[in-house]
Amino acid sequence: MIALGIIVLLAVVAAVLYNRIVAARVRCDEALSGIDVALAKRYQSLSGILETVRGYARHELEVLQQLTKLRSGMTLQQKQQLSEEYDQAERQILGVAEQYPQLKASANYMQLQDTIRDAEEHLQAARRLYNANAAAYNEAIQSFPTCLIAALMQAEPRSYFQASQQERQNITL
Amino acid sequence: MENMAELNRQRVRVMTMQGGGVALILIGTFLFLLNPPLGMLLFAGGMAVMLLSSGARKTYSRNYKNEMVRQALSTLFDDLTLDPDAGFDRQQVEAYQLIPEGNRFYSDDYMEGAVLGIHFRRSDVLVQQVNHSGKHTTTTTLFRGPWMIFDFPKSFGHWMMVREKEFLSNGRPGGLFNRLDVEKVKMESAGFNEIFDVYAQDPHEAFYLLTPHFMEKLVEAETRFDGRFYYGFIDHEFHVAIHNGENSFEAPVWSPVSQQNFLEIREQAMLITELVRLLLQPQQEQV
Repeated sequence: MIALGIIVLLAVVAAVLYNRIVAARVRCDEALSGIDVALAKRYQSLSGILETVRGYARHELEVLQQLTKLRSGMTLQQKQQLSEEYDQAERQILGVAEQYPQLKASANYMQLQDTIRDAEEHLQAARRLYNANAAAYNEAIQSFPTCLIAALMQAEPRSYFQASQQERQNITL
Repeated sequence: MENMAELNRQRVRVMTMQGGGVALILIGTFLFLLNPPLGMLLFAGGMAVMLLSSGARKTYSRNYKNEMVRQALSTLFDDLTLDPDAGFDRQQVEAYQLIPEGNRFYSDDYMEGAVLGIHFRRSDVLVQQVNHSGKHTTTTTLFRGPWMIFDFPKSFGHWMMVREKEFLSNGRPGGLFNRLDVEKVKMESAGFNEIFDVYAQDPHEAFYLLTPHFMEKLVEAETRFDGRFYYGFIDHEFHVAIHNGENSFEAPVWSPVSQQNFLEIREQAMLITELVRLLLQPQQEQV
């Protein structure tokens, strides 16, 4: 009878720990989809400003033919690279726009700049949320006794979405 | 000056009535032992005088706020509207679910205006829980202090609260049967998490609004100003409620109305300006 009770208790504990890992994993996945949404928003805002600036400076922007769009099935690393590509594109576009005061003063351009800034902030928020959830998940699967269940589930730690070089430089400064 | 003299006349009248009333009550109580009818008469007289003085005090207080407070604040804020008798609506405050709910609510000193280009509304709020058990009545003050509502520079669509932690007072907002469907969000700053709890309907929006720079500012505000801080992001507005036990802009009774009061009023009101400067002014942000 006591043995049965212990087995039932262990089963309940195992179920609780299993659910905890699954919940942490789901939060990671949800946060990852938040990154996708933010990247898509950033792509849209950069495309908008690219077209506006291209109208003024076609020659200077010839090298920037087309922004890479987010594709389904991209790994985290690929998404990071995409984010850095967007950062670079933004610097190029804004750098070119600096040479055209008329463009800079236009209401359309200023609105697009606000949109870009907002899209950046959403991407940063998505990144930070994902990293917070990934940290919680990694902590859950590596701490005792959850690690025992995690080992049975073959749960692997999640990578983090790194800040871009520009962001890291800003922090350093 | 003329206004100050008139206010002091009203103040002295209130002081005399209150002092006289208390004296009559004390003498009546003492005399009750020697001459009960006379004692009772004096006691009743004292109570009547105290009742009259409360009416006089209300009038004096209203005049003080309309004269002194308005004059002091009009130099600080643009488009100022001040109504000492008005406050925030109880149902609205309870719907915000930012501060604990009680069975006694009072709000006054409503103010609306703009400072540094930011529109705001403000009111003093008092929330208490009064419990009667047989012969005993206990009154617990759950919140007392200023509540300020500002326009916020970012757009958001979900409810979020950032609340300063306090021993035995950190329950889930709205209680067990919470209609809000919020989750506790842990930010990446350990220092911030030690001081504040964050509850949000949308965790992404929590990270969007609470940038590292903004979190530093929230901590700085908590350090600089006394009281327990409640920050709310509700219905596209930014709420700052500070439980500091103070009832702002109250008229003095036992000390004269003077230029010093003018300065004290400005100091209390500067809280709004300092919060706007610290939390809402656009600044260069580090990522």
